[in-house]
Amino acid sequence: MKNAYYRRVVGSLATLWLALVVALPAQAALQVDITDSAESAVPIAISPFGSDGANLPVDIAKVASNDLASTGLFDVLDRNNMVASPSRPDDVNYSNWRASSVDNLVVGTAESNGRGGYRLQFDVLDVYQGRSIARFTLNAGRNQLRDAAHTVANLIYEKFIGKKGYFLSQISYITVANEGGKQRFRLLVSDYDGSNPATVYSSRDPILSPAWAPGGQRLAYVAFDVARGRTSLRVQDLQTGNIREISAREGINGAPAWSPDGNRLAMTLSFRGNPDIYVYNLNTDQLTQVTNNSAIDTEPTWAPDGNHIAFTSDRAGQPQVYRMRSDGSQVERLTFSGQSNQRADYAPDGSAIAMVQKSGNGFRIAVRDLETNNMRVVSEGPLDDSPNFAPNGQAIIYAKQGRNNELATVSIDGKVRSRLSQSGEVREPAWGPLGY
Amino acid sequence: MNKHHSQVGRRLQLIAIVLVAALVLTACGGDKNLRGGEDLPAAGAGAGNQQGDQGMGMQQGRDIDVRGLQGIDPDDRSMFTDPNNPLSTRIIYFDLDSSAIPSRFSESIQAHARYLSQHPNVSLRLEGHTDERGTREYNVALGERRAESVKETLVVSGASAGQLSTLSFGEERPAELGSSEAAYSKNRRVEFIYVK
Repeated sequence: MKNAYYRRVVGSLATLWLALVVALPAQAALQVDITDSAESAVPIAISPFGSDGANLPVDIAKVASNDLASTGLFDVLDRNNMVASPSRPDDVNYSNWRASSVDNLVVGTAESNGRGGYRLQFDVLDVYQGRSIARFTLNAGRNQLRDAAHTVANLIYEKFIGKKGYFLSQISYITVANEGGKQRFRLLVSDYDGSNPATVYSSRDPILSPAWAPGGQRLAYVAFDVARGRTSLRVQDLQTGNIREISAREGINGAPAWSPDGNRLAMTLSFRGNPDIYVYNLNTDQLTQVTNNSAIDTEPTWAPDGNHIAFTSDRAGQPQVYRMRSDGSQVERLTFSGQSNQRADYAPDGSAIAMVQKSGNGFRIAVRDLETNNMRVVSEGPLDDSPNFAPNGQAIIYAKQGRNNELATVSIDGKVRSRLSQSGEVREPAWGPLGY
Repeated sequence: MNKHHSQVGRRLQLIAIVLVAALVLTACGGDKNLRGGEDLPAAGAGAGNQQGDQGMGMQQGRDIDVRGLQGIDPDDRSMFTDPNNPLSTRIIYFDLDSSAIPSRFSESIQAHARYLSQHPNVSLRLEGHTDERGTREYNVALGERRAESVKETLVVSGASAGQLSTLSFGEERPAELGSSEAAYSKNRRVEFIYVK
């Protein structure tokens, strides 16, 4: 039954792929560069996948190698430096591979599954022990080989790192281009590595604060409508394109943050004269004010437990991060180091929050461990913004402002870095869910 | 191995669904918006709204003399462009992290309040801005507070709250590009936009 459903989906995919090729946006894709790798990176080689006939339309080993290398946690052997290209464990001459100091070798095949798709099988081989330490099998539809390749990388990542891989996840971000002397704002969604970008919304007026709904089917964001003198906080369904306007009140309609169950949005409104945090129930349309302070209260982020909201407030003078129950009770200040701290984002497991810390003349990303209260600065500044945890909690994506307006990622220990750039300005990254 | 097999099978079904979403998105994509994602009116397309101002936030040296006066009777506009008239000051500048109005702007704010009270049909939008430092949504709130601060002063000085609205851009529309203090001080501001 599962397979019947599966074929149906794949069947409809075949037509849509054609549309993709024709309508591929002229949008530049983000380029990823690793700037710092982990010293203890896992040495690994992925041999080209074998097939039972014609060439595979996707180079599975190459896609998976790029995925693993992009994390900085794997030291991936270049194909040109491989001593051989075996695709089955029996074909591996272990002594030759030992000589090239590759601790781990992946060999696999993708063969026709008789239903128009592929059956993939691969082994992770321990070169020194001379045996397979894990074997995986998966089925992919005719047009799903690229995603199957990302799945291969996810399985290898999980095997060695012990956390789920994020190679099927997506990110959203905002670009600003100067087109004929006028600004053009675009809200885009792409693969986690910037490939396959697609425009979700485009405007001459500013777009702010994209936020993924749990499950990744919807995005909340803020669109300005300058001609009408207003802003609009809305939720857009990525599948249908339908836009639901949540708030277009006088003043601020900003900083949307999803509750973990996807039923509520925390947001900042100022129609009562002062920026405060409200919670909107998407099922009942009920709006509840949860902070009521003459200071600025904004940038809410929901804790994964669903019971707490962290937010920015300048009630003590400088902006600092506070935490409260999601009904507004039990407010406590969380940050005391640095000159100011703002725009918190919860780690997916709730164990830490990332934020923007000002100290000296710079704004840098800092991570606070909520158990030890240890605070670690993980970015270089001088104008870093919009930290957002990867869906597996192992990395943070953020925006760099100033001379180069680009995106960057950093591992939560601050040791592995990469940058994602394209021509023009890129800002406000938001990392979607795992995607599987 | 079986366990892995079935897990992966389930995962790929999910992937397929996500893919359909991504493809629908791309198929409608390119430079076009998705259904429902209609573009906002182009510059000056709205009836009499801030003609020529849309999307020009990054452009330097724009003509402040014609900007923001669409809601003013053409016969009165010279009062707002005469540099010797306090009404010609239509941008208030702020100190870092502050929404307090510097005293040098008091005379101009009084003049605008007086004009508004004498012309109850005229509407004024106060557009708040910040420099690029700090986070975007916090800056939206700071720009809003600056605009609210000017609004309160105008009301205290005789304008009616119903004539006034606020719109904060935060750091999104700098008047001057660059990361110097000179640029920053030009960007921490509230602009007066008389709207029709």
